Parts: sequence; structure tokens; C-alpha cells
Amino acid sequence: MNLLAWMPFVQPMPGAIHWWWLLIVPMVAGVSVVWKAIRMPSLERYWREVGFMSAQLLLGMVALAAGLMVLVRVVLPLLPAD
Amino acid sequence: MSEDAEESPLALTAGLLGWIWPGLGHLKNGDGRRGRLVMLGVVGLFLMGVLIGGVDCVDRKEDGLWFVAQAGAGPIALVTDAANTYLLKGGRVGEMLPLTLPNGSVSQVNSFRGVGAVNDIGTLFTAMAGLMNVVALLDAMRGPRKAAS
Repeated sequence: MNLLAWMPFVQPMPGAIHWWWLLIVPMVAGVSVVWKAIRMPSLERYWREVGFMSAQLLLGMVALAAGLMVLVRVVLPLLPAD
Repeated sequence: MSEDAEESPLALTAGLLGWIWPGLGHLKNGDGRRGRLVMLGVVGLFLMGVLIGGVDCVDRKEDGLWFVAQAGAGPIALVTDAANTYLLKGGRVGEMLPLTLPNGSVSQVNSFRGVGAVNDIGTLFTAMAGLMNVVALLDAMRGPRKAAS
């Protein structure tokens, strides 16, 4: 399916299957926007805090993914098969 | 005791409004900017999810547990589920294709139905929107902040 034939909000986004992992960026941004709006006593420096929390979440996810990759590709193959 | 009894109805109204449309609870409490930011975050996450996965990513019957989380976003989730049923399952858009189930019976599935990672991500976005709105409406139910911005 090409982009011209796409019906937004009805059909799945074409091509997203190739870069779906990048969608974590808008997701952590959305979560941070809501969380910081609720948790900050004052909304001064709001967007800076949102950016900082988004970066923290993103780095946490990257660290988890890297840890799991090491576990699956390095640690588990070292274990005896039986 | 009497103060608590007086605050309770207002807080419940704010919670209900926050469920009906994200951010309305905070707007009722006089936290205008906070309400608009909650609206931006929750509605943004939800619309982004539907944009990525299509209406099929909200399905009350086939993804019941996910829908519990998605329903936290309010009537917007119910409307999306109804649109899924009307448009995709009703065959009003796309093409209905035969699908053989593991038990041998043949069912029909819409060609616009989302599959794989795209559907998963859309479902995750909409579920996150619902869960974040539950947090936001619980916050709104605490009533107005003493030092609202």
C-alpha cells in the first residue's frame, strides 16, 4: 500500500513496520507531558522537565534492551544445553 | 469532617469530567494550564495510537484486557471501538477476506485490519493514554491545588 491510498485513522500506517521502534520517542514524550503536568507543584520549567524525563525513559529503555540482548546472545549460549 | 463531606462531590465531579474528556477535571478545578497539558498528552497519545495502528487497535471483544486500559481515556475509546465494529467488522471499508481458524472453521477478516508490530504499537499507545488519564483523573479528584499555577 502506498501513502496516497492510505486512509489515516482507519488503516494501519503504511511502512511503520520498518521503523516501529522509533515510535518509542513520541510515546515517552506523551507519558512525560501528562506525568509532569500532574506531579509538578509549579509549572515553571515544565518543558525542560518533560525533556529530561523523556530522555531518562528513553535511556532506561535502551539500557534494558541492551541488557536483554547481552543476556540472550552472550549469557544464555554459555549455559550447558542439558 | 464537614469539610471533607463538602469537598467530596466536587472531587467526584472533577474525576468524572476528567474521564469524559481528558483534562476537563483539572479545568474544573481551576488548573487551566495543567488541564490543557493533560489533554495534549492523553489525546495526543490516543490519536497517535489510532493513527499508527488504525481503528483496529481498539477492540473491546478481541482485545478485552487491553480495552480495560484503553477505556481509561474515556468515551473516545468507546467511539473508536464502535468505529472499528462499524467500519472494519461491518465490512464498510476494505475487503472481507476468508480466514481459516485453527479449529478448521472459516471466518472473515477485514483487509484493513492491523497486524504485527504496527498493531501492537497502536494498541500500546492507546492503552498508555488510558492509563495516564486514570492517573490524571485521580489527581483531579484530589480537588483544586492550594497553589495552582
